[in-house]
Amino acid sequence: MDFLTQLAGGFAVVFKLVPIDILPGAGTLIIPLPVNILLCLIGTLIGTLIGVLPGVGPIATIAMLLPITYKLDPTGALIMLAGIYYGAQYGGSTTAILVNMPGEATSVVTTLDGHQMAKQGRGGRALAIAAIGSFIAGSFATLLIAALAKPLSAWALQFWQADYVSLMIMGLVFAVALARGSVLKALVMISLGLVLASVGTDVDSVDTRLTFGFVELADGIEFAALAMGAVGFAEILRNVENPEKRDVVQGKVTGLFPTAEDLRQSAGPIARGTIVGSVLGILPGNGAVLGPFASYTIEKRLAKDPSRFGHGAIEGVAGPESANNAGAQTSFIPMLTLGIPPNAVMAIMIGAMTIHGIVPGPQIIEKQPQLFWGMIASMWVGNLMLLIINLPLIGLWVRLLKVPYRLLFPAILLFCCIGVYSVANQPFDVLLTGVFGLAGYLLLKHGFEPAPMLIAFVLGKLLEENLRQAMTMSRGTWNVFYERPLSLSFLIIAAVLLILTFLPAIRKKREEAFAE
Amino acid sequence: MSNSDGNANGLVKSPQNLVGGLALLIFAGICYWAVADLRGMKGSNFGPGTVPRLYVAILAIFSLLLTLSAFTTRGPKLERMPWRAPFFIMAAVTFFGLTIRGFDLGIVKVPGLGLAISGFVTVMLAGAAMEDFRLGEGLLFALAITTFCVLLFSVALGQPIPVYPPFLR
Repeated sequence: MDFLTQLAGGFAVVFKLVPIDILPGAGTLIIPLPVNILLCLIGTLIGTLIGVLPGVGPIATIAMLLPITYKLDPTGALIMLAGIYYGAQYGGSTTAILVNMPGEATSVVTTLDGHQMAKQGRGGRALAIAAIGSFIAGSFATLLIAALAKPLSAWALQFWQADYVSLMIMGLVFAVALARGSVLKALVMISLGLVLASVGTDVDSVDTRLTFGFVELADGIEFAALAMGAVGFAEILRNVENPEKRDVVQGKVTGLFPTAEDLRQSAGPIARGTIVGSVLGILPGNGAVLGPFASYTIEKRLAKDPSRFGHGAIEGVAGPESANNAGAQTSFIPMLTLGIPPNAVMAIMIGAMTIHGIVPGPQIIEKQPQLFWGMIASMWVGNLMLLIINLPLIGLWVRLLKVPYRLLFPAILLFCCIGVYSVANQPFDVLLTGVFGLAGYLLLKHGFEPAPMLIAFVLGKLLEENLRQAMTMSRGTWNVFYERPLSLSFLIIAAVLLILTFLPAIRKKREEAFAE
Repeated sequence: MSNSDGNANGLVKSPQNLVGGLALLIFAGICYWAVADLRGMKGSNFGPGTVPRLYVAILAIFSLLLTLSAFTTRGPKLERMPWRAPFFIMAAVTFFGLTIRGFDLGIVKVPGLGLAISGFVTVMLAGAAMEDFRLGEGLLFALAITTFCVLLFSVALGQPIPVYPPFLR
């Protein structure tokens, strides 16, 4: 139980008191404040506030709020960012339940029964169960991360470059298999993401690649610009086009306390959702997105009366919401231990860590234990805060959601512009976001989902780097990829999965799963 | 499959795949042209052009497959392309990008206007994207949002974002 001791150390970091000069300059009023816990609180609060806005998911929220962490020390910044992430995630669920408009893919399932419950006047109980389920799932996932971090990091330190290459290829195949819609389109989007990743200056020579003469592209495409454009702006364009979809629950949301019956019905789904979500979240290639779908399907199969689903069954909220949060959290595992982001949110977290001078990877746990364990402990604290602070604030979120979209989206757009600009104080990035927004919107209109492209964009650079090193070390032979047992196993898994995805029977099942 | 699908008997069974596939094939072509001159493999070492050409080739292959699939697999029809929302939203974003700090377009230098003016115009332009845009309400709201952003990002968070145009500072 070594990890529990270290986790306790992490809690010490979270609760640490820092003497803060209340009146800067005067030097007279210095009060010890638990700065990290305050940052966690502020992070979860504003994360929820922005995440509640319809059509703004965690990616856009983190990108938008990233600049406010610049002045903090790395530990504080990461604690705040993690808080923003859970807040945004939770805010998305709130919107899914109250407005029937998912902020992002993982809360799609919640709209099915959650919004029905809200329409029947049980919105408060749906939100409460979502919060309780998320908290239980979050607590379990925190322990899982703490337990797995050390052994996985140690294992990852033995990886060769070739193993990393094969692991990333496996991740890309997972991203294709788990993407919504056509497999071929997902493959196209993966390759598009790879091409975009190769934009910029070559590491060995000084040749610029695919910059088309723009000096601003010499450092490559800013991830925030791509993500905010292809996901955020494209989503805004789609919502502006179909404004009638918004269906805010009228009347007051009352009855925030779930009944004993609710809790009894939800216990099983929460437990199952937590486990399913945790396992899927560790998978590379956006496994977390599958958690809520899988949990919903399981609950529907297990239910005595499956016809209740889709008409306000509390199990349909409890299970997927727990899976959602568990997956959101365990997706930190591959990011923190291998340095490989399993989804777009983790990619933006890596970007944020890099800005603060932290390189995620197997070495981080040894080199910066304070930061590592502090961040993990703060995850649990953040989840607890969400449970305590958000329920009383639901009235506020409802009022925010009643603001008409015609007023809401210009504000969202301006926040996004300021966010992208602030990442590097670069106006060019704002223009680039516009270009990606238009392209993303056109692609979305033709049935191309942006998620696989974002994963490929992030993995593309790492993939090239490791591929080149692997080839140099093997003196130009490809043997290393199938002679290393680890690399070979990753490639075999990838190949089998790719073939399975194309098999007609599986393909049909996959379509059904996503249609639900 | 719904009745919004492409014509089952016609030559093109999935118009979406055809248009999307062709567009990306053209994009791949342009990219290939751009990286064609970069040095490739030199012995066992990768050149700057090796990986980009590999990625572009993969994109071209999948785009071609997608284009061809338009003739064999049934898929959804093309969606209606509205112009109003994309036009105003792109105008808003472009305006913000060009005027927040000023931008040198080569032929003309766009002056920097700062968040106070740039943000206000951006919100107004974006608002006009929606059919039920109301001028009076929009003006008031744009004013409120811009003030809020200036207070939040510049005053409270101390972001180095220009607030006023240089000639007013």
